[in-house]
Amino acid sequence: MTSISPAVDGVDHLGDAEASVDPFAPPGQPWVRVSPRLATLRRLVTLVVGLVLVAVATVLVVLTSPRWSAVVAGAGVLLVGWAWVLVGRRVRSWGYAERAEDLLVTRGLMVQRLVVVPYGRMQFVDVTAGPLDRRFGLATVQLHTAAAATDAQIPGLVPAEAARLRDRLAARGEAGAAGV
Amino acid sequence: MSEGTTAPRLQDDEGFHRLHPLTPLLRGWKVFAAAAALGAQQAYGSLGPGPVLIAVAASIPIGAAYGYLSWRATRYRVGDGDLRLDTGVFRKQSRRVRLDRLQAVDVVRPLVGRFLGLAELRLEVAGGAKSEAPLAYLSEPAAQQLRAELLARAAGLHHETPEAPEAVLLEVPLGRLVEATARSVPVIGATLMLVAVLTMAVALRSWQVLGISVPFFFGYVPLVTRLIVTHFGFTVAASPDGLRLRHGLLETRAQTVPPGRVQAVRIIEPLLWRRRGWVRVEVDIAGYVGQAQESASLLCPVAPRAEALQVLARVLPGLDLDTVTMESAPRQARWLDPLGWRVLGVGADERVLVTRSGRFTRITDVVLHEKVQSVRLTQGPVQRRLGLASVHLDTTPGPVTAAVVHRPAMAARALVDAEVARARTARAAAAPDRWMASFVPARPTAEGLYLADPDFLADPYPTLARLRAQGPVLWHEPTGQWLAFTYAAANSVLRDRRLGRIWQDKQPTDPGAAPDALEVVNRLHRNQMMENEPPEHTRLRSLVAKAFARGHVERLRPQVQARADALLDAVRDTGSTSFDLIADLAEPLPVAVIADLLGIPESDHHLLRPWSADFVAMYEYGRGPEVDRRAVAAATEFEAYLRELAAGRQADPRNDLLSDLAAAEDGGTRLSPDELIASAILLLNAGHEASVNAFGNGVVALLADPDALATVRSRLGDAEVVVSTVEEMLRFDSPLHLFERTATTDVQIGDVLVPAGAKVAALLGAANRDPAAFPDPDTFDPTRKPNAHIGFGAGLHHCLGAPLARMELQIMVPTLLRRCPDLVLAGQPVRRPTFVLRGYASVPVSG
Repeated sequence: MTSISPAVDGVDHLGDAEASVDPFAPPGQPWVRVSPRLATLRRLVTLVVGLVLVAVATVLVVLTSPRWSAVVAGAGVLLVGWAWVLVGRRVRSWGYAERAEDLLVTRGLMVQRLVVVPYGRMQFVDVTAGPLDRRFGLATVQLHTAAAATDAQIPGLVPAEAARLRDRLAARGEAGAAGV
Repeated sequence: MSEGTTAPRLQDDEGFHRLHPLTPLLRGWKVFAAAAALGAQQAYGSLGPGPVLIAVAASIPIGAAYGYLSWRATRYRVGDGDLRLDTGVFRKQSRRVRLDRLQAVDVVRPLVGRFLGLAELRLEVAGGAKSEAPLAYLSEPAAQQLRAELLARAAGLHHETPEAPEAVLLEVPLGRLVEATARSVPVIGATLMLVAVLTMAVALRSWQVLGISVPFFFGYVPLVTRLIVTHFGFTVAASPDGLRLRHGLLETRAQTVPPGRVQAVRIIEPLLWRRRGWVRVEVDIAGYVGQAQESASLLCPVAPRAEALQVLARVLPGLDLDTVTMESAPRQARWLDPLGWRVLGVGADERVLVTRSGRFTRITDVVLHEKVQSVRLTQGPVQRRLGLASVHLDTTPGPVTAAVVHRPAMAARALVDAEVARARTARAAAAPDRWMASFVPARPTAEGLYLADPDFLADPYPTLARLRAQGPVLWHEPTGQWLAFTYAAANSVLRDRRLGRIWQDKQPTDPGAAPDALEVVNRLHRNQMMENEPPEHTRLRSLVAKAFARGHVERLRPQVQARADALLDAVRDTGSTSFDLIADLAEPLPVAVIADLLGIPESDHHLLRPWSADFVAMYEYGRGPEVDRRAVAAATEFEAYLRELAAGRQADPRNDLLSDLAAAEDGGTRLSPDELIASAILLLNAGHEASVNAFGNGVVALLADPDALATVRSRLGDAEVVVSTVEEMLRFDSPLHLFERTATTDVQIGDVLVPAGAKVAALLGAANRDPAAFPDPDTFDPTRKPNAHIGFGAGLHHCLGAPLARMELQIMVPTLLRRCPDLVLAGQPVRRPTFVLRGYASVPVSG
C-alpha cells in the first residue's frame, strides 16, 4: 500500500512555515506570465463590444421609455468598467512553467485551473495568431495529447517566444521515428 | 470461381486477394429490398404497377453490373508491415494500414451473412477517424485466418503463427442477462407504465387508451430486448494475443482486445444489481472512436464482481483492486455533493489510480499511470470557499472520465504532483507496443535524452557520458529503440551479424499525406547496400568496392591536392582574409571528388550538395512535414537527373563509376534499374557528408585547443602526425552519431536481451568518448595512439568510403594549416540542428 498523496490531507497538518497554502502555487520555479499586451488587447475588445452594446441598449430604452435611459446607460458603463478590470485580472492569471519532463499551465479567476502535460505525451503543438493578435504582436501556443480533455493553451506570447516554445516542445515530444 | 479448401482466399499474380464473390449480393440486397418496398408503395399510388416494375427490373442488371465491377476493383494484400487495400470503380483508392498501429481486429457477422457463411473484418487503427479498411465480406474461415495473420504480424511474430489457443474466462448466461435487464430502473419504470396503461384500457374498456399505448409499446420492446440481443452469448476468452470477446444474437461480433491497448477501466454497479453483487465493466481502448468506441468499450455486460475482477486481472496483470487503500472525501464536500459525498474516494498503488463515486449507481474508475495523458487541477469558487479542489486524469476518449472530486485543496495539488511522478516512472518501465515480440518487465531506460533538443545538440557529450555511466545498453522511449552507449556495446552491435540493416519504409509525418507520399525516398533506400543484408548487400557492394579500395583511392591524391589548393587560391583571390570553412572548403572539395569519381559533369556539381542535405535530413529524429516535403522534392529531382545521366552512360560509356554501374545493369540479376540509381545516390551522398562534417567538426575542435593546435602546426611535415590528427578528429567529434540495426532474432547485448524485431542503435559518438576505451577521452590528443575509434562504423557495413574520406582529410587539414598560418575563428560557428549526422552549417574563420 502506498499513500495516495505524500502530503497532508487537512489544513491542520500544514504546520510548518514552508508549506504553501495555495494549491495553484508555482512548481518550485516561478510562473512565466503572458504578455501584458494581451490584457490591453482583451480590454480593448471588451471596451468596444461593451460600449456598442450599451449604446444599442440605451437607444432602445430612449425610444421606448426615456425615463430609464440614464439608469440603463449608467449601469451599462459600470458593467463595462467592471469587465475591464476583470479581463485584466484574468489575463494576469495565465502562467506557464517548463520543467525538465513536463509543461505546466495555469489560468482562471473564478474557476482556477492547472494542467500538467508530460512532454512524452505531446502529440503536436499549434501556434496560432489571429489578425488582432498579429496587430498586437501576440500568438497562442496550444498543446495536443491523445486525450481530448487536455486543456493546455497559452495565449499572449510574443511570436519569438511562441516559436521557441513550439520548437522546444516539438523537440521534446519527438514524434517522428527515423535514423540512419 | 470456386474456393480451394487449402487456400480459402483468392489470390492473383501480384499477391493480392479478393473479397468473397457473394459480396455484391450481400451488399446489394438491402438496396433492392428498399427499392422494391418503395416501388410497391408507389405501385398502389399514382403511377400504377407498370412503370414501377419496369424501373425496378431495369435497376437490377445495372446494380448487379456495378456490384460486380466494384467487387472486381476491390483487392487487398498483407505485407510485412502493412495491409494494402485497393478500392473504387471510377475513383481508384489505395490505402495502406500500418500494422504496428493496429489496435484491434473485429470479425462481424451480420444476420444474412451468417446464412451465407460470410463475415466482415474491421480493423481499428490508432489515430484513425473511423474504422479503417473494413474488409467486407470474406468467407468465415478466411476472415478467421486473416485476423490471426494480422494479429501475429502486428505482434511482431511470423505471419504463419497459428491462431493462439484460448481459455474461456467468462460466459454470461441468458438467464442472468434477462434478470439484469429486468433489474434496471428504466425497464422497471417502463414496465410499470405499460402495465398501468393496459390496466386502464381494460378497466375502461377503451380502445382509445389501448391505441395510445401502441407507440409506447414500440419503444418498450427495443428497450427491453436490445441489451439481450446484442449481448446474447457474451463470452470473454483469454489468449496470448489479447482478450477475445464474442457476442450477439442476430449480428455476431468477435473482437480481440490486445493487452496494453486498454487505457482505463470503469466498473459500474447499478443500485438494483447490488444485492446480486453484479457489475458491468467498460474500458477505454485507444483507436476506437465514435460509434466504434461505444460498442467496443464493453468488457463485460453483467457478471458477479469477483468474476469481473478476474477478467480485469487479465487485462491489467497483477491488478488487485481490493488491496488499494481508499481515502474518503472530507466532510466539507457534503455542501457540494450532499447525497454522494460519503461514497467519494480515491486510492493509488504503483500501477493504477482508483476513484469511486455515485450514491446510487456506484462507479469505480481505474486509470493506469502509464496511460495518463495529462493531469489537471481545478477549483471553482465554492470549492475555494470550502478549501476543496478536484483532480482530473485525462485519458484517450472513451467511457472513463476519471475525476477525483472534492479533495482538500493542498492534498489535491500533492496528488497532481504525485500522479505526474508516478506516470513518468510507469511510462519509463512500460512495455513496447509490439506486445508479444518483447516483454521485458523492467528495462534500463535512457531518461532525459531528447535527440532534437537544441541544448543537447549544442554539446551532447555530457548527457551521453551520464547515460553511458548508467549502462552499456539502455531503452530510449521517444525513438522506440535500444541505444548502445559504450564502446564495447556499440562495437558489438555493429559487428553482430544477427543485427541487420533491415529497411522499413518511412511513413509521412503529416497525418493528412498519402500513405505512399515518401515512396521515392523509400525506393532509393530499399535498393541500396547500406539498407540490405547479404546476399543483396554483397552483390551491390562488390560492384563498387574496387573503386573505393585504398590502392585506387591513393591514386587520386594529386587531384585532390590540386583541388584543395585551387579552392584556397579562390579564397585568397577575393582579397579577404576571412572565409567560411564549410562553404568555401569543406563542402566543395569532397563534393567535387566524389562527383568526379562517378562522372557527374563539373557544371552540375552545385546541384549535389542541396539535394543531399534535403535527403539526409530524413535520418534525423523529430522531423516534420516540411522535412518530408523537401526530401521528396530533392529525391525526385535527383532520381530523374541520374536516370537521364545513366541512360547516357549506357549508350556512351566513359571511364567513370556511373558508366561501370550502368554497364552492370542487366535488369536485375546483377543490378536492377532502381538499384543503379539508389547506389549512385548513396555513393554521391555518403561520399561527401562524412568528409564535410568531419572536417568542420575536427578543425573547430582543433582551434578550440591551443596546445593541440601548436603540436599539429609544429609537426605538419610528419605524415604520421597528420594521420593521427585526422583519426583524432573522427573520434573526438564524430560526423555520424547513430547507426540503427534491427534484431533478426533475440540477441543478448551486455545485460540486455534485444528481442527479435526490435531496433538497436550504436551511438558512435558516445562510444568514441568512452573512457574504458580511450584514456582521457574528452581531450583532443593529435598524437593519440592507439586510436581504434568506430567513427566509420564496423563490421559488414563499415564505411566503404573510409579510405577516400581519410585521404581527403589528410590533404585538407595540413593544406589549410599551411596556407593559413594565423587561422582563428572569426565568429561563432553555427551547428546544423541535427544529431544523427553531426556537423556545422558554417564556420567563419580568418587567417
